[in-house]
Amino acid sequence: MGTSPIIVRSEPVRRPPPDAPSARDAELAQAIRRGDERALDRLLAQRWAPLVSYVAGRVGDVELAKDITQEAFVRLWERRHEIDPSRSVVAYLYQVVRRRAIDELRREAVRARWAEREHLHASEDTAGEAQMGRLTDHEILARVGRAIGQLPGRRREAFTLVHVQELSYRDAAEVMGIAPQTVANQVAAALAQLRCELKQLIAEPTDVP
Amino acid sequence: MIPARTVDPLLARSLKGEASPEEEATLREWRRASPENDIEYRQLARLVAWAARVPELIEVPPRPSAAELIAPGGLGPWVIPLRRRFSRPGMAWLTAAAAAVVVVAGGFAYAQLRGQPTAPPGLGIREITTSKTEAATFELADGTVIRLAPSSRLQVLAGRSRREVALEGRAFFAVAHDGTPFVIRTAAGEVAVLGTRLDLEARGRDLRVVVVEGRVALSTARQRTQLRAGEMGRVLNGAAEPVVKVPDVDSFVEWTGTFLAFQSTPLHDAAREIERVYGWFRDKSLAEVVDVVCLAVAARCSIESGVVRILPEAHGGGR
Repeated sequence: MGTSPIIVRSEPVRRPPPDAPSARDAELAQAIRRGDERALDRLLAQRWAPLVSYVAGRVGDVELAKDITQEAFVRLWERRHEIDPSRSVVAYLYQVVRRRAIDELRREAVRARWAEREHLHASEDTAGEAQMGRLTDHEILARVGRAIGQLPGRRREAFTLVHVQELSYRDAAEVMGIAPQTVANQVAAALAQLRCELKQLIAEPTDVP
Repeated sequence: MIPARTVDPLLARSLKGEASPEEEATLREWRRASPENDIEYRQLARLVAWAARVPELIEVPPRPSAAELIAPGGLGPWVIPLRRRFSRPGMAWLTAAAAAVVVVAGGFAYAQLRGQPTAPPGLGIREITTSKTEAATFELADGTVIRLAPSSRLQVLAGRSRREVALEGRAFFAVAHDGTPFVIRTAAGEVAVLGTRLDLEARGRDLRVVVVEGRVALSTARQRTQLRAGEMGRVLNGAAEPVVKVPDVDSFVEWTGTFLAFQSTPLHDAAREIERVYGWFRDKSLAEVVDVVCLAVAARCSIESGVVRILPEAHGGGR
């Protein structure tokens, strides 16, 4: 088919103002604030699964994670009139579920569940060690997940928010209540540590210098 | 413990697609400095790709709908809030028939020109080059709209069955869907798309593509990668890098300025972008912008007390 351009015009470049609203987040916040149900649906579509898995990773129980996540969305909706459009609703949701998860963790039952899981993982580890190199995706993921779970506190949290939950540095910083630069530093440290620990998993034959 | 290096925070930001162009340049230097550095980067990229899949380990219960979570109520129309209102009337600039593509580029009446019979058919332009201080917007015969960034060059390659262009520099593409692939050739690799929108920058043997909507295939001499919306693919010195998700696609298309181009874009996505860009239409009245937009998305629009309502029309059409 013919592809010759039919119209060409050039015009001087104009730079957008630096404070131009950058985002879908701001728009989502605005829409929810106005009571737009579809915006809530979109937010659910984007964030339901990641949030549930995030909470489940902390409290060790998917059903409980589901309840906590559901409550967070309901709470966001009920308080939609208080939404500050300049802040991220995603960060808000993570803040809410994180706080709830921390509360839950204080309970004895959850602690016991974790101890059980740790035990389980430890035995899996020794069993799996022998046949390195022929791991299924699921096994690799399990190992990566475990290595992340064993990172020290803040480092684990920063890495989880940024790379497992895929929040921006800005949102992760808001959730953790620290500066974005600090989040980046924690993530950098986590990357270095994980790379050492998972070297066999992430190395490829082409990596020979 | 592992001592921190100055490159560590750069690595951390780059793997997230949040590094500035200067930081990316520094990182490129670092990677070129030694093969070990390059390997480290690649391994970290793989690590990050695995990490993003960790949630798969958990079987997540199905998500509730908004209606289930909250008291059920009727769904309203899509509403675009406006940050400010403009009183200065702009020029009358919209007479084009309803089209799948609308371009609103700063300073000239693009939509009006589109498809005008007075424009000589097949102008014969095979190559467009922009200077350091200008950008160009144009449309190919198939309806694809291209916005070419400063210091860039685009050639239209004649092909019988394929739609093909060659790019050196940066451009935003809103590719019309006509069933055949649209191919963008660069020195660093090739990008093949169907109907989709993307930002592509190719300088020498380096390339960066960010997919705004749809899917894209990126091929280099040795590899072929698929990219989805919200993902960024890079080629460095001729070799493809692992795909990275970008948290904010908008930031990659902000350079286009007062410009919108849609190709069968879902209404709510279009609405989001219109809102993003609207604040920059300093020389257009609200009614004019809304007119263009509603032609583009085949919708009925109304403006009441500073709020634009867009209702999708049942049968495309327009007026």
